[in-house]
Amino acid sequence: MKIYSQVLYLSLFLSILPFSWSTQQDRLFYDAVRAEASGDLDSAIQLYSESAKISNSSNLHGNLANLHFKKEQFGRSILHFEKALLLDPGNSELSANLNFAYEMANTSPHNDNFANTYFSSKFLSFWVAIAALIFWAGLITSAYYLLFSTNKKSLFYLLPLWICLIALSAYASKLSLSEHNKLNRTVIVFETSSEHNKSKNVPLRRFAGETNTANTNVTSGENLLIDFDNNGNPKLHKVSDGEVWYLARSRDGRKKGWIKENEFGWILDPE
Amino acid sequence: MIPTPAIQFNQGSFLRFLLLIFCSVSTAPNHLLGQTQKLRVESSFQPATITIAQNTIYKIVIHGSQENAQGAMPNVSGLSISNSPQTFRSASFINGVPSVRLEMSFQVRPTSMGEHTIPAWSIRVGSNTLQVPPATVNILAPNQKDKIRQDADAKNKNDLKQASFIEFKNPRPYLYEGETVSTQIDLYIWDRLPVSRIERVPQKEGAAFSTTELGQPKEKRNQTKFNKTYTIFSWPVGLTAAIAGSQNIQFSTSIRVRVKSRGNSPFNSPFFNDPFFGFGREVSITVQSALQTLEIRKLPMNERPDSFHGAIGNFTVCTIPDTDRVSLGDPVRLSLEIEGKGNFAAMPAPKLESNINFKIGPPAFSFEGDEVTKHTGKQSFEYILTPMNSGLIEIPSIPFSYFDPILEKYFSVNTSPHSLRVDPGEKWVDPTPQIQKNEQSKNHLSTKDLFQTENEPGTWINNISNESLLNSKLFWSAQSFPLFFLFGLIFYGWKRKQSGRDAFRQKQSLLKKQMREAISYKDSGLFFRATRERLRLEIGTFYKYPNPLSLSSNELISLLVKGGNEQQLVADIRDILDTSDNYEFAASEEDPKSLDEISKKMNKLLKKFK
Repeated sequence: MKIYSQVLYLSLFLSILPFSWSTQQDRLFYDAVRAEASGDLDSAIQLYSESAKISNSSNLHGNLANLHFKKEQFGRSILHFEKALLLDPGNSELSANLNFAYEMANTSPHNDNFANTYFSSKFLSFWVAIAALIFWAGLITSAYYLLFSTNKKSLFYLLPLWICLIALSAYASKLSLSEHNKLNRTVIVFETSSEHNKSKNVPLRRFAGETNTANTNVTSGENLLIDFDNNGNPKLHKVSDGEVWYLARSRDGRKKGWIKENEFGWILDPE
Repeated sequence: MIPTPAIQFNQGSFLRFLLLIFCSVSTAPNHLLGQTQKLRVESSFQPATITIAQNTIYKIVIHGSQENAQGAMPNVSGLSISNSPQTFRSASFINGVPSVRLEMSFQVRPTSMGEHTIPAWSIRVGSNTLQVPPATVNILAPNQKDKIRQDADAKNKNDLKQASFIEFKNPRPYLYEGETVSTQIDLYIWDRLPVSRIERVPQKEGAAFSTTELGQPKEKRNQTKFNKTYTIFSWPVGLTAAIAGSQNIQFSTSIRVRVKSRGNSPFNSPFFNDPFFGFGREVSITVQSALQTLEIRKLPMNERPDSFHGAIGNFTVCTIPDTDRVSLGDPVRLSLEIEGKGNFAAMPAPKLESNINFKIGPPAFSFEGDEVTKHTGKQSFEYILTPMNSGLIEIPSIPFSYFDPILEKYFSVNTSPHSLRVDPGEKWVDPTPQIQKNEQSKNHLSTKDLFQTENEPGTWINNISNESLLNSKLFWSAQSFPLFFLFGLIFYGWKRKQSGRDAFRQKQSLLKKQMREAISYKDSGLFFRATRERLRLEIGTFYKYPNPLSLSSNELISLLVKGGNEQQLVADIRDILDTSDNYEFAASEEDPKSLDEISKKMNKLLKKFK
């Protein structure tokens, strides 16, 4: 009987556990809203950040981005707007805010041209679906013509068209997939809080280590790509004081160097 | 000497040559009459003695022919011979002998006194060349009768000039380049001249001048001049000299008058025959003024002020602002009035440029005064001044210079400056940047509005992942639907094909069986029916004809031909088909012994076609 009661309590605990987490992140969220309303922006940021460690929501990252924006931390603001948009891609208000944050940070969003817009990561599913649709439609139509139709001449026109469409949609999918894969490597540069560096520029060092000279500088809010090795793991270097340095480069590949882990934020948390 | 086109001495000779040809051709049939008569040419002046005021006739008579006459008459100084001779042909019988002749009469007008001889010259009549003998005319001095007639003609001509004329009075002995003077053009029309209308206003002839537009004329009646009574039409006009130098000017117009007949033209005798010219047709007469030569001088360069921009005349200048107090940004109208006599039509606006106190636009023009000549009156230039600064600011004076053509000097005047109190109001700003600023402020506000904090957390998601359809199991699972559909389709198609083949084989075996039975029972009818059906079935199916059993013999043959089969094969199958048709439709008898051979032959043939 005692064992039965213990099993019952355990099962009850396990079933309540998710709700208790939800309650905790909700509580942190509401506390952050109240702190923000009272003008305590730092506390609000802290509370939102704690909540974000538990779970994510579009509104949470949007609010967090707003707070960073108000504190003119445009890099962090951009990062959280990007996260919020991943969770709610159709939110035009978030898009407008993100563009404004980019504008204030004097950087430009990476998808500001035609190719990056229509073959971006967001369009991957679209292009894949289109490719699949064209593939199956063409295959089934060809089978029908081969097996049932007496007029097979139409196949001479349909087949080249089908092949062209397949090739185009596959190419579009490939471009989107490339952008999609880049998103896993994309980080946003933060403002430096170092006493030695009061500018908004963040140095990319020649070698991993604080004392090394800068190879080049990047501005806060700028998108960087972290280099990955052949195993799909980021190229990093852990120095003696425990700091982890990552090898990063700008999207156009012109800037390259080592950046400290607290000088940027991942849009997608590394696995 | 035979005249040829190469010896055409001058234009007159050539024309006479042509006329001779014409006259001869037009009378060609008559020349036959004089074929028997001897050819002879005479020439003479009739009369042979005249005064210089009279005309005479140079006559050539060709006896014995009316045929084509060709020749080039020589030119004689002191005589003007017409190019249009009068010809006369005659034929008669003299003492029973036919006689023909051709007379050509040329009008001759003497130009100098003395004895003038036309020398001998050659003329060609048909195939004969004849020599025209020389002829002499004696030109005497004019007699009293001639002088009386000349005086009468001159008087007529003078009277015609006095019938209608234009008078244009130059107001000054000389003009300056760019100067405008006011003058008048008078058209005099004699009251006895039956003028129906004035066709157009007088036109200027002389590129060195420009005139203002001529409007409606003023009419004055019963004006006496040259002992005649006239009606005068007057047009005031502003005349501007444009090019320096000694320049000609003339005015002309045309009037329409009634004349009685062609022979009674006003030019011949308009006054003595019929003063009213009857009620005949109308003719246009050009009336001109006397050609006048005016001296146009260049403006002196000495002491020419900088502010001189071409104003010539005598002027007074003043400026009048419409107000003496405005708010900052409100416009002020400043009127510059130039009054007097001069070239208002050619006067440019005095320059008034923007400065730190005023923004000044281009002026508006208006003129009050003699609108026809634009020589006397008041020219106003209205400037719009927009004050740029507040306080007591001064409207600047406007320098103006002109040249007085009477005193032959330049004069410079400055308008009085005016004080203007500008109250500080809303500062004028350029509207374009203002719009931009407004847009910027709107953007800023709207952006602020965008940064709103959400009070609800929304949907919680544990991990932000970069999901796509490629990672979706549902997507890949969904691909099985079209895959299965495709497989099903292929299977169904295969089954359908198979079922079609089975039916074909069943029919084929049935027909083979019928053929075998027909051979064994020696049933030719059944054999050939089955043979034809089998050919239809196998050939039609082979070429995928939708309904093989409906094919005719010709269609089967055409299918084989299209399929590129050998001619022998096609011919053999055609034979079998023909035999079958003949047997069935023509009741042909076939030896039953050969049925087996036909069957074997057909089996071989059916394996060969492609």
